[in-house]
Amino acid sequence: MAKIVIDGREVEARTDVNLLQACLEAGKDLPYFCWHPELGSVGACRQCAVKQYANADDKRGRIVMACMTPVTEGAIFSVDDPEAKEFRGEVVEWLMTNHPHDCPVCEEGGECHLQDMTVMTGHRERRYRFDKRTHNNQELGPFVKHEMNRCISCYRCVRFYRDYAGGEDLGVFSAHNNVYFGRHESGTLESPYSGNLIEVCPTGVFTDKPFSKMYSRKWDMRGAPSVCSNCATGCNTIINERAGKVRRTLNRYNDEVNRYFLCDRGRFGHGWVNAPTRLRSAGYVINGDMTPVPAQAALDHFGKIAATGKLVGIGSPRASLESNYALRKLVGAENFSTGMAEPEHSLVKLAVSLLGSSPARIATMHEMETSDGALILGEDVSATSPRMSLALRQIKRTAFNKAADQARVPHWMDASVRTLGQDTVSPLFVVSPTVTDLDGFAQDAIRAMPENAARLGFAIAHRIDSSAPDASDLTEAETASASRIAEALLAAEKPLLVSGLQYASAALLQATANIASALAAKGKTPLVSFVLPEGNSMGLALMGGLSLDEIVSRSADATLIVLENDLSRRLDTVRFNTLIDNAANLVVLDHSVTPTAIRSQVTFPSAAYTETDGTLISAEGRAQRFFQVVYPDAPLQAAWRWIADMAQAAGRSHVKPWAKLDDLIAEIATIMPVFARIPEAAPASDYTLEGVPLRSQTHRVSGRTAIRANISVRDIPPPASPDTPLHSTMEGSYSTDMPGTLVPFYQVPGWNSEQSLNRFQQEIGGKMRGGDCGVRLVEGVANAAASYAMDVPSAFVPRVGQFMLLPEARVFGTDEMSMMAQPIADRAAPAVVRIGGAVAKGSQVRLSLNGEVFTVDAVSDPTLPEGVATCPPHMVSRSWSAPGWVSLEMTAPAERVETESAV
Amino acid sequence: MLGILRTIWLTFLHMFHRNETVQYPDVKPYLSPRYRGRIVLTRDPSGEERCVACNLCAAACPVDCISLQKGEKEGRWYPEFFQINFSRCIFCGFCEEACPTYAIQLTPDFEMSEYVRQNLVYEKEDLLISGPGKVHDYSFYNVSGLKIPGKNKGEAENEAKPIDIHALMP
Amino acid sequence: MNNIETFSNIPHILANGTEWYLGLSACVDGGTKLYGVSGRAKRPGVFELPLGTSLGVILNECAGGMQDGYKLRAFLPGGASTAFLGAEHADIIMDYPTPEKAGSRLGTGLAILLDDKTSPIGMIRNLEHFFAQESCGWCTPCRDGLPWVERLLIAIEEGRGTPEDIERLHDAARLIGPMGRTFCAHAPGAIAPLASGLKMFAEDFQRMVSKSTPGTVESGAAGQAA
Repeated sequence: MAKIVIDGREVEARTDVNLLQACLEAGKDLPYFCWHPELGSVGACRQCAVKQYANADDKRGRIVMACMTPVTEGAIFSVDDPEAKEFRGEVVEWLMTNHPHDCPVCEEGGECHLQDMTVMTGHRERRYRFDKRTHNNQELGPFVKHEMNRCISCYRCVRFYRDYAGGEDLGVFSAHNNVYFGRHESGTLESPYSGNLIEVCPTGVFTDKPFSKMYSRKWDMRGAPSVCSNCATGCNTIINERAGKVRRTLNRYNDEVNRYFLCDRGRFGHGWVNAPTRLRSAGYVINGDMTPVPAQAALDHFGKIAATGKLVGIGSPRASLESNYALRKLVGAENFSTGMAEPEHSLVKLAVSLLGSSPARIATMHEMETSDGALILGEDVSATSPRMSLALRQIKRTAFNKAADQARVPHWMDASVRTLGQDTVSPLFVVSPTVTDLDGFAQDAIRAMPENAARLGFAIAHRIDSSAPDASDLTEAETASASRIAEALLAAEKPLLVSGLQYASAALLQATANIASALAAKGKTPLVSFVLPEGNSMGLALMGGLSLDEIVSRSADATLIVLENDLSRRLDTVRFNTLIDNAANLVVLDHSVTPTAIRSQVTFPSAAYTETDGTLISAEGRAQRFFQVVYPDAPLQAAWRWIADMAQAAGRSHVKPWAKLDDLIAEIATIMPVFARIPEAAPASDYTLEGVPLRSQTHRVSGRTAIRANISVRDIPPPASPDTPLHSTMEGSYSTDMPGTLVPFYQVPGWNSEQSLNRFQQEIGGKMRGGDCGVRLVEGVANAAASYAMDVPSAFVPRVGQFMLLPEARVFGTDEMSMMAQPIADRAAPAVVRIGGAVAKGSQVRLSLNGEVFTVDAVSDPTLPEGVATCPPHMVSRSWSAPGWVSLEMTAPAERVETESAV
Repeated sequence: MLGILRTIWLTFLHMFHRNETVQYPDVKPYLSPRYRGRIVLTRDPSGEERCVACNLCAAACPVDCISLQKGEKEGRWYPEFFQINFSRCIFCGFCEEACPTYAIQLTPDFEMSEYVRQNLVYEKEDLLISGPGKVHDYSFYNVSGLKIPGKNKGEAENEAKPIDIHALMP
Repeated sequence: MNNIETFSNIPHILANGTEWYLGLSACVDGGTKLYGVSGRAKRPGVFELPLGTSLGVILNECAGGMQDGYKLRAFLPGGASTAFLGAEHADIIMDYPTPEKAGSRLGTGLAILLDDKTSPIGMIRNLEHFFAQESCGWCTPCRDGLPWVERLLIAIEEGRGTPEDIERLHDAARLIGPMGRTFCAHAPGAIAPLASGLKMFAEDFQRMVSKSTPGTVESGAAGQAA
């Protein structure tokens, strides 16, 4: 820490940040554009000009850019100096010379960083009387809207897109005041992080296209803190609502998880909550047709069919922990399934047990960014957890920063650091059957089939600690790789191991755990992470239950209750039909129509995550609470409330209704010790800040007396829910000190854009003032004795006449709920089988997946070995997702048929 | 006693004073053009509706009686619906002051009484008039940067032609 | 390779020694310099002369003096991004310290001449057009400030200027000119002829904004960048 003087006030400032950051952390408002907490300083916009004085006698000073100035002991600065103020106002005037008169028709208005900075500098009068330069826009795909007239050339978009996120198709073109930020031609932005441009751009150049179609001003929307459930990473989000409709998803800062950025699947994957595929009424089958009925009628019908006989419950890794628990309580633990089929069920359990018993620490994504020796073993993380891949990408900055340290350049001086680091080698090793997005900068990108990747993992562990088993019959190249990687991991201070469930390989998980144990045996503290498939996979694994395969036998002649799970995605058609036909009754609780729901006898519409509250456990073992932003119309209610109602209707008196979520959470924490800490994931619904509950709408929310006036001119009381501590209206408390888990929107006076997040953090880029988000339930065992899995698989052997078909996970297409959102469906490319080997253009291939024959377009993929092919899971065959041997029958281009998507 | 008689005499004289009574509704009172009466939505000189659904009027309204939803037609922003609950409106004129396109205006018409309160909720078809209202010449899209039918990039009042980034000549 | 002229001295210094090199110049800094003039001189060109030669020698002996009918009014001693010096400095020693003491810089050593028949506003306009166009586009004052300056000068030169326009030019000079406001020295270089020109040619500027039609003077020829 150093003492500096800002406008005569002595301030303690951190020495590893720039002056702009120090001023902001000291509570001093200083305008800026091109600096960003994650992107560092480049000194392009010149907006943060302050006066620096050589010493106390220097009365004149000189203007410097705060973002490019280091903090040094005893330095004297002035923000309020008239010359500096005038210059800052002039910078805004220069930006305004070309800025279009667009605010009323710009989606950024009301949360625009440019608006805020213009007001902050006091620039009011337009003295430029000449023409404005204009640009033509480009079509950038279904996610991001482009309006180049508004650009102020802060360069943040390309710095994020190219430097931070590794994208290549967005760039700067032309020069001087003609600079243009776009693609070389219109076309969909390729990066799966393109949505962050919306928050990174300080003006309205890049805006949220799906949101624009149902646009609402930021001040008009209700906000709620939520958690994305489109993968197991558990990124924190803010969801916004107006007039009962969810409008958009924004990033919610979590210091250890997603920090400033989301992936596009999370940002644009919520549209299914508004889609016509929503179930909005209860119903049961009358005369062969599912008929909507009042809720009580459906419950009574359920009571009749379930009065006697066994109840069997199938939970879901995409449903909240509370709903799963309620179902488990209703049917009994011995009749409860996690809702996962084999091999997923056993693999998730194995992953969780390995994490819980390993001497390694489960890595947070923030920790991953600064690893100095990382191995990705057998997983295409860029497809199964894009946000984690973005964090892993920052590992190359570890090497950059080392070079910067040698040159005595501070880490925040971004352009210099990247220039110094351009020839460095990133301490990242990727081993994967297919090319991944991280290959480009990895020190080694090794192609290996899952078995061989696992063997390599075992070999690495053996070369770290010889008591770990080695793989036999390794090739020379494999031996060399194993030694190299083992050496790098041993040399690292923060070694990181990542694997996952994409290739359904227990050996990969065990090999990774072996490496972790080996590193620990050598005195290191390794970090480990397993990518799990779904939002609550970890939660279900911790809760325990039977696999779907096991439940098939138990559900004969029973009433089968399926909670928010589409079994047709998990069981092949034969087993799916068998399960349903053998059961006496099928009861489905879900928020959306699925092939399972349409087979049900009774249906109950459960509330979506935007309409209810609950807990999800992420792959990191972090329990996080999500809160509702919509107060849904009856009969929609949380699934656990339906289950309590169903229990009452069927006379199962051991399940009593819970008045509020906190009661249910308290019960779970007591009954299941593994979940003892979930009440700490968020404050209870009676939380108050300074004696007043929190508000979820801004003070400026408008239209309260008109919004419902077309239905009735009479006022009704505002909606309320006992499950959330946030009030549904603009009445209530709000503070930058509020708990990070409860932030409904970011806004402080003078800072209406997402930059106001700076005020919510103790140190910019550090923890929220109000504390951490979520609570970790799973930790490794720090000094566990080394225990090694001994089952080393044999090498992959290709078969003549057959192909090993591997699942090609995709950011857009292979996840269930996000594909029911229109923008994601638009973005998803059609399914295609990639084949290692020559394939004529336009060919198709016929193959049998899970017992059914499909015809799919085929392309050649030179990065795949002969005898290996890939196919996206769930997109061709709805249930296929695990590797297996197939015969591929090629059909010539002349015989093409139109293919149907399974999604 | 004298005082009471004097008062009665003065009151009697009032019978011969000139009446200030305005024989409404046969005679209407004079209202200046700036009188804050019924709210209308106006059109620009080319006949297109001026409202761009920016929500500033709704934000400015002290009683939250305006609600609207933005829609987009070929690049032009317009209100899909526009509701004003006149049972709440206080005719303060803040919406007119806030409007950046001169769309929403208050007119000198107060004759809006209804028997049924629900009829005081006006939708866009009740508010939109066919003319420009009090401001005759302003068209917002002529000064904004958006491309709309009839106004391409570079064709606004103060715009240069769009940059061709591939042009090599200065 | 940043400066070829400097680099090209090195083989000769290595071959002939430092004493020889220092002996070549007429001032305390060593070697020769490529000098030159552009504008209405009889023989504009580039001449290699001892460092510290006076402009009088360069202009009158090497370049043949001003063309017939033209008198030197002012000049940019070191090229486009140096400040104007008046004709009274026509014999100035072209080393490093002397032009600086006079308020300008040696710069490239190639002087641009303003004659008495060329509009100084037109010359400055041409220079600012060049600088605005050559801006890389990274930082705001240069990218957005210089085009504004150019447009103000166009308006003034074409008889559409106002007194406020001159104030805006002064503002630009004051705010962009000092070092540290921009990312590199391009914009301060652009301001050098503008700031000095606003002072030296204040009357011309005043006259142009109080006229209603453009003046009948040439513009541009004298302002071609070296």
